[in-house]
Amino acid sequence: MIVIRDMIKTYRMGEVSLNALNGINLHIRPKEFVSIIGPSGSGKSTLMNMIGCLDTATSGTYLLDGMPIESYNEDQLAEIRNKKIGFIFQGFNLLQKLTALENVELPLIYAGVSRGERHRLAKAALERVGLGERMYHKPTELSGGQQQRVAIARALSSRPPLILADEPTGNLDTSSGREVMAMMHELHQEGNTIVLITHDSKVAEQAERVIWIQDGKITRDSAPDEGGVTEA
Amino acid sequence: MSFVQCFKMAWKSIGSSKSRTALTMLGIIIGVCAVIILVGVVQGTTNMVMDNFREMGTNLVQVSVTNPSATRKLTVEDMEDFMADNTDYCELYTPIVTGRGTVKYQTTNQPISVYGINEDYIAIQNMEFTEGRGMSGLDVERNMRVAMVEEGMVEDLFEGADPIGKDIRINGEVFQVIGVVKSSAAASLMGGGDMVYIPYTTAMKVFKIDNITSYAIQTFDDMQDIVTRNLQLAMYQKFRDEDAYMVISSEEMLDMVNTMMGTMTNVLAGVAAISLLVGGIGIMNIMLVSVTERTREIGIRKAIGAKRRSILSQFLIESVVVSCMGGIIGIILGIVLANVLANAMGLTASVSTGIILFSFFFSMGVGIFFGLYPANKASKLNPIEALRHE
Repeated sequence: MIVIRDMIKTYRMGEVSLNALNGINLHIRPKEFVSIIGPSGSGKSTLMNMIGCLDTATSGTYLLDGMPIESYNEDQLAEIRNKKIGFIFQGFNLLQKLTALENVELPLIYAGVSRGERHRLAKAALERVGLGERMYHKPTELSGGQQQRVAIARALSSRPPLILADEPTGNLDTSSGREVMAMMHELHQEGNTIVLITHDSKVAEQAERVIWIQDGKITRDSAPDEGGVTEA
Repeated sequence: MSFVQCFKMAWKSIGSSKSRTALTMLGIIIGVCAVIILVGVVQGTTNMVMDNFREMGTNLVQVSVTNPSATRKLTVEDMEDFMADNTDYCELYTPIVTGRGTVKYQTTNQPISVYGINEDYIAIQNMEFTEGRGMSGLDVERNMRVAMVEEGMVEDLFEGADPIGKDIRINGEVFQVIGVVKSSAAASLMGGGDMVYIPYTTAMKVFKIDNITSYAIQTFDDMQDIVTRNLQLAMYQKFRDEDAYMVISSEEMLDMVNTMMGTMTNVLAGVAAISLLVGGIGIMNIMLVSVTERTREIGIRKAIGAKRRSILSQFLIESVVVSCMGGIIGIILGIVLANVLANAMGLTASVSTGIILFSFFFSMGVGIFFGLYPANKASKLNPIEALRHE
């Protein structure tokens, strides 16, 4: 599913250049539930941007589903994000002016799915997260937990092979957080590949594999894969 | 993503901030409205002027002598000679002597334009009498102090009384009113104010004019060009100086007026179009604010798969829809106001399909032109930074 080799990401800030990622090697297989944990400034957000195809590395290679990400342009990356990755963000990132259903439909619109099919898929996804009753509500009329479930439905709607969750429980109270994590487990059991990024070890430990990252390097991997994780 | 989808998205975001959209549109509405009103009213005026010219007779050729003097003059005898040489092409002519003055009846005063003419003028101009008679050749020959007044003066000067046979004073000289003619819009257009017609022979005395400056000839149908050419030739032979005289046919005059009004229309439309541009800058301004406000939205859309083109179209369509709506409202408002204004001025506004289409497409163009920069800016946003934007 994900093969990363010798990934380096350098940010230039005027005269100083900073290596946010400093030689990452990572192999995630399909249907794995992996969490990546690290303190702030460890490079985990940068890694998430890389895995999520929101940015490209300075050097190294990244194969997502066999596709060499570094060789694609901006628009091609947008298409890959659309087809291959379902994003779940800490801040939900729903469009406030649209209803839950319209939010869930959005990735399908960009994928060019026809109106009827779009409706059907979006409704199914919302029912899947238990919000079949609140489809026509706007995000402001929903609780935090419900909003995150809408976001999960959006991530699921186009049935992407990879679900990428960035601190999905970060903005939620304990019980809503627990609900969202339960849903992640369900999605995993249904055969989705999930990569969860967090700084919270309690959340991270729920995954079947935990990867620790610090100073732009992987420092520990609970279940290193033969794909090659090198100890720094 | 399809155009329909882009349009729906644009429509949704326009609908979500109605008052801002309305204010943004206002610039375009006012611009388009101004174009339509100005062009409509000027075109209406042009039509009226043209109609009046046509009414005045289309088979007219006028000749005038610039700065006439004892050595440089065109006499009635000269004209008679010309007419005698051109009997195949024309029959009637009249000298025209103009002057301004005051007319007084009993204690009422009124400024007027005086037209000194001969008896053929009545036929040349298709003058219609409401009362009395026209002047005769005898009146002209004998320098009679007779006058034909316009019907508007019956009310103003004679306060409704029958003016026939009454004595009036023009610049202090006594005249007898012999006829009342229907007001000629063309004549009032040229002279301004009410007109009084008197024999040209008398006019020359009253206004102390030594030489007649202009004559009008009525040609037979389709003979205008020949008469114009012959008259030019005759004048050149007489004066040997092209600057000494001017020969102009009513057709040429019509063309001249038409060209002049056309230029005026274009200039006014151009000035009004500048306000459209200002409206466009308003759209650009608001769109730029909107892009900044919606940076996070753009980030989300990009993260879940919007391509640059999708974002660009969304914002571009938004500005085009705003400008087109403004255009349509402006056109409707413009047509209504142009008609109201024209009615108040006693005209009929003339808003052509051409100017409506021009206004519409111009405002659409304004939307595209001024929407392009903000839309392009939006489409170029980096998704990571945009997502981080509060």
